[in-house]
Amino acid sequence: MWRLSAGLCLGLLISTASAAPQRIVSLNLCTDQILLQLVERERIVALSFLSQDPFSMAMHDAARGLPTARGNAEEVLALAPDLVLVGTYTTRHTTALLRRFGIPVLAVPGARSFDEVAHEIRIVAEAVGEQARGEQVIDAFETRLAQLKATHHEPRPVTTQFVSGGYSAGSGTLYDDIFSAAGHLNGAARSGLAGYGPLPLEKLVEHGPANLVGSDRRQGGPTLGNRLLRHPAIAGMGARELVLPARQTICGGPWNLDAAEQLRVRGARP
Amino acid sequence: MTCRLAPPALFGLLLSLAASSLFTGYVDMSPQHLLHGALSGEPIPQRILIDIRLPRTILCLAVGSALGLTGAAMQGLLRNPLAEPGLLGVSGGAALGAVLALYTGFADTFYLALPLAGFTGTAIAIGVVFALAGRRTGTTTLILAGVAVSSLCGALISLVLNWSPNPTALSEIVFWMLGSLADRSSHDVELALPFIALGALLLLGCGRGLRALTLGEETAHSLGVDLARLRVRVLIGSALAVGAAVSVSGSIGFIGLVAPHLMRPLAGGDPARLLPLSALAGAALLTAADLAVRLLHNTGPELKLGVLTALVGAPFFLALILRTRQEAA
Repeated sequence: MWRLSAGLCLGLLISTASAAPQRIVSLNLCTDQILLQLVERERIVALSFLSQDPFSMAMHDAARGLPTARGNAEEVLALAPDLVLVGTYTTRHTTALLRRFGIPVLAVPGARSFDEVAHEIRIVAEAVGEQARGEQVIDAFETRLAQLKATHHEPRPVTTQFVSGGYSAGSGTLYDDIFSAAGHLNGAARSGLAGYGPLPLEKLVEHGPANLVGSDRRQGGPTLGNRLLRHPAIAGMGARELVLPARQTICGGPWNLDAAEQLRVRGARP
Repeated sequence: MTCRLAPPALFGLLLSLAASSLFTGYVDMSPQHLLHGALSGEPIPQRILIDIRLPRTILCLAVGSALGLTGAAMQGLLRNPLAEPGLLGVSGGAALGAVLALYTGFADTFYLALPLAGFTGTAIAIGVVFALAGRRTGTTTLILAGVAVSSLCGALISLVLNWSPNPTALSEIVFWMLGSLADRSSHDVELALPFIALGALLLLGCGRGLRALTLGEETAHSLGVDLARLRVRVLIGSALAVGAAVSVSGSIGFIGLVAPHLMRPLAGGDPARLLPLSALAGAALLTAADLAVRLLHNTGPELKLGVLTALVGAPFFLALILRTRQEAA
């Protein structure tokens, strides 16, 4: 028995050492984009169906023409991948099923900060055997971030995200790092909001931001969108309303710095 | 004796609840600072008190009284203690209208688009109930028509959820249906209040007819009460009041069911007295519930008003039934 398992282990070792995965499937918008930055197109068997959507996908040009998968297990099995990248919370049942069939699955949690962006690029780079390329991507990101930070002015304007249903992004979110890369303070974080969550209108009025970042959802599908921004209490504040493109804020990556750059240029000073 | 003291006592309670509602919120600011700041034109206290808390408090009172009053009128008209404002499809229609507005994006076109869609939904639902039940049929047909329209509205709402293209819209629809008065504005008050007042006036005028109806349909008829007219009046009154209320607040359960039950001992079995008492009780209950929502808020998502009323309302209603059964035994 032990000989059999030792043989299996050996076989696994040989296969990981000899070949980096060549038939990679990604089932999550954010892993799609990490993957596209790291490997050649030929190694990608399929991306998520969202990858073709220019509204959510910053790298939609790079993804154009690549096959897509909806994310059900049958479909993925038929593609015979040697690595599947998934989000931690998406396609949960599919992930469990694929693992049962012995397909290597790497679950990547969504990044909540620039540090986590770098960490995720590293783990995916390692899984696909492109460590050097991963470090290049991270270095480029950090150089650009440092350039942005060199342009900051004091005092910093207060900026708050405020979208449908009164939701906002506090500390420990990508928005927090995007605002700070733009040289802005995050109003929601200063009002005590941690993570994504509802921000009572009263607290918004209390910290009185110079910039209100609204929802970009209106183009993508019908929602209440920016209805609450027409509330008299907000209208009276005189904050500048801006919209950051969803594709630059949903997933972590260099495009976050494009959003920061836009905020830096278009945002109101305090 | 207790009966005569009840309305002033309720008024007193309502006033103190309304005052607490104005001075309770998400930002810690003393009542003196708020009042003084608002009166002297300081922007932050003024916006918080006048633009945010005042509309919320007014809507608590108005929506609560609309639900209580309609509940009492429905229970009187249908002579059934289980009747509640939504029974005849009024709230279902409003909810469907609002959900469709959220789904299609119409709700985002201008500020009052969402409540107006709720109104339209109510009007259509009530129209269908009328068409189904007709003017001259009995109470049972009316209830059945109402139940049919309500469940159809429920099914259509599920269909919309099923087809919803994006998760943000989905969560908005679900949260809207849970019912809340958070962050409403004076626009919502201006839209809802006239209709609630008009509906309330229509319903309050039904007291005499409902009192005669307690003696049975035939006796009421012989007393000169036109039952068909009474029915139309109650239906239109509740459509106006509840349609307007639900359109700005989302669905809020149990207030309309519980308020009349609470007030029945004080009204001495007289529907004409029960109507205004239930309106007061409904307003007090909803304001208290909304206060609780704000006091319970810590960080993270707010407990929705409709969830709280249902959570507290259901056991409360059960206790009420048990007590009545003990008294009867």
